[in-house]
Amino acid sequence: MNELFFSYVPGRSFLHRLDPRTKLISIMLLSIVVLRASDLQDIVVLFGVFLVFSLPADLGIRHHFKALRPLLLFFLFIFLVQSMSSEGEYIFSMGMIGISYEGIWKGVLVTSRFILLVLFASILISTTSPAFLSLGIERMLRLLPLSLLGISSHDLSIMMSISMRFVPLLHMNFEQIVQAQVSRGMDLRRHPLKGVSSLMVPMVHSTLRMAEDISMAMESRCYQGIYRTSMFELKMRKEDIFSLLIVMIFVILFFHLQM
Amino acid sequence: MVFAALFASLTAVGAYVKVPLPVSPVPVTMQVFFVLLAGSMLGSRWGTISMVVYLLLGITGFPIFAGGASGVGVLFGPTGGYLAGFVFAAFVTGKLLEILPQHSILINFLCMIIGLIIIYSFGAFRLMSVAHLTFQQTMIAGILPFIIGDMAALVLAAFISVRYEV
Repeated sequence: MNELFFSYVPGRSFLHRLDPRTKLISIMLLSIVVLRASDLQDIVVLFGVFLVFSLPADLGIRHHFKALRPLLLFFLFIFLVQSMSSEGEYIFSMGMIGISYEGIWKGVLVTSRFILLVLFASILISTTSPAFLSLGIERMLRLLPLSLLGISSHDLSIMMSISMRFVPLLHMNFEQIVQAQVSRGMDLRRHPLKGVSSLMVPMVHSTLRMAEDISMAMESRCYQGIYRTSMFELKMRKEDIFSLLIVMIFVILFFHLQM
Repeated sequence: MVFAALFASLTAVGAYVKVPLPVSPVPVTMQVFFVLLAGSMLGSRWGTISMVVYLLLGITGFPIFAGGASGVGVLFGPTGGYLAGFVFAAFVTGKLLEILPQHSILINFLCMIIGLIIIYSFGAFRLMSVAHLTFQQTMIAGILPFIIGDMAALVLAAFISVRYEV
């Protein structure tokens, strides 16, 4: 895996230029819709919406589908579990477990909901630079009463964007450690317990070191969370309001039709 | 602060390492492990904050809740109680370990069990009220299936939190 999935791709397309707040709110709305989707029509419609929204990003559909690849096994797993665990007439059965039509149906539904969520998140991540994303989150967090928690909205937003970045990094780190240990003669199939411990120890160590490096870098650049100015100011333009309206109309239509 | 972010994303990753049980609507995940580890390693303040960050990320729409769900709907759904329990569990576990003068694997383990009980009680309470189950049904569906897996995870978490300092 040379390329990180879920990473920012620089560009100047329509979606790149939108305000990050617009994109965040749209994703929030869309994720509610996705979780409400309950039959095949809904899924097809939502998939169409995804295609439409991904067009102005100028990245090509393939880029977004790449984000799905590391999760393929997971999808398969969800699908199998869902399809085995529901009742109905069995197509074939092996002892206790069997696969029914209802089960397959439910499995397809749950899996495709999940795929859609990942795809929408992929649009957001690949068109918004991490700096803008955290800026947008910060602006939205200002509305919450955070002083009760004893933390500023700057701190919270930077933590959110760091943890977003950590997920692909942890994945990459894990792959590297697996390869390193395999080249040292680790055999997960023959000694599973020993293998797990020889993966866990370097994993814990290297993640802690990674976090330490980041905090050192922030310290040495005099990071402080009380007040910060940013290089770019966010402005809601006509396009933003326009695209938010489109998303909202879609959401309202969706719920209206489902009633 | 960076460590709080780290634990938020670890909890997110933990949601994917899961062992679903066909009999129960709540999947078993590695999340409990990371939640309590965050509480015990970061202390009450930052442990709580890291869980808040995790919940906020989920609300924003990233598929990081158990089973790849996201959004406000999950937080108010039947399994939302567990998510709310995470925040309090991390706080209490951190607080207890701050009060106690010396740490050992056993002490950490006991504090984490208290945290685990908090997660369970929040989760079970919510499950009971949303899904209209009786107390015994909730115990069978929402708590008993996880206990063995979570206990094993807690031993590991207690071991790590004693061995490594942040």
